[in-house]
Amino acid sequence: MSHPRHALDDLLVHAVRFSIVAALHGVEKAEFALVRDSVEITDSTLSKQVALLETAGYVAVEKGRVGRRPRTWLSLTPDGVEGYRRHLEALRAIAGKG
Amino acid sequence: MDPHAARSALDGAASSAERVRSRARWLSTYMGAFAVGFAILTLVIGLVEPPVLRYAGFLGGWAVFTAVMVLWARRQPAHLRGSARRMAPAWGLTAAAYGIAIAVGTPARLGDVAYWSVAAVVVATPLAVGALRERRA
Repeated sequence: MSHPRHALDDLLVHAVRFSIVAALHGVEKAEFALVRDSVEITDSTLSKQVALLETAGYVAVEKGRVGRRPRTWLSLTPDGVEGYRRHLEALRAIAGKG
Repeated sequence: MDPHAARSALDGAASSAERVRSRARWLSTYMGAFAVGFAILTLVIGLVEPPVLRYAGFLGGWAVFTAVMVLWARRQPAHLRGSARRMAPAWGLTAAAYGIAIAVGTPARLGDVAYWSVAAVVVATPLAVGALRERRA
């Protein structure tokens, strides 16, 4: 039987990207600023990582306004949900081996 | 990746997920406020005299309350997954109870404190239960 590390998602091995996806997993959508504060990273780091996740089809980005304030909403796509689920299973399997 | 690193990644992910989820639980407050709002509205319709005050309360008060709540909801930074599906039955039952209470109680029972008190509780209950369930979602 192969080691569970082979089931890790290459994109989510990066700790910040994994935290972003984890933060979005329990919600329909979340505002950019809330994800930034929850993951404890800067605007530019979040923008960069979200761009990679968006290119991979894991995260959807929606821009809008509330009153005069621009808002950016982030959400997981079905591919993102599936990728996160598989990665989480692999991590749990690895953690269980310790 | 070793087991220690995997456990650390899982812990980190769980805490960022919980921080976002905790900010997405506002719907419970929203539904609770509407439960109270519907109860007050039902009492206003049944008990306030003269009729001009009753309808001013109905039209003015309710419009302002709804506008404030909708604006507040739009400012919330996250939405829990499946909220719309979970809250739809509570809204439907409250709206149906409200419609029945008004249909049965006006004009025959206007001013009847016992009837309108019970009606207010019945009308508010689905949204109040929905609010409690949403808090645990």
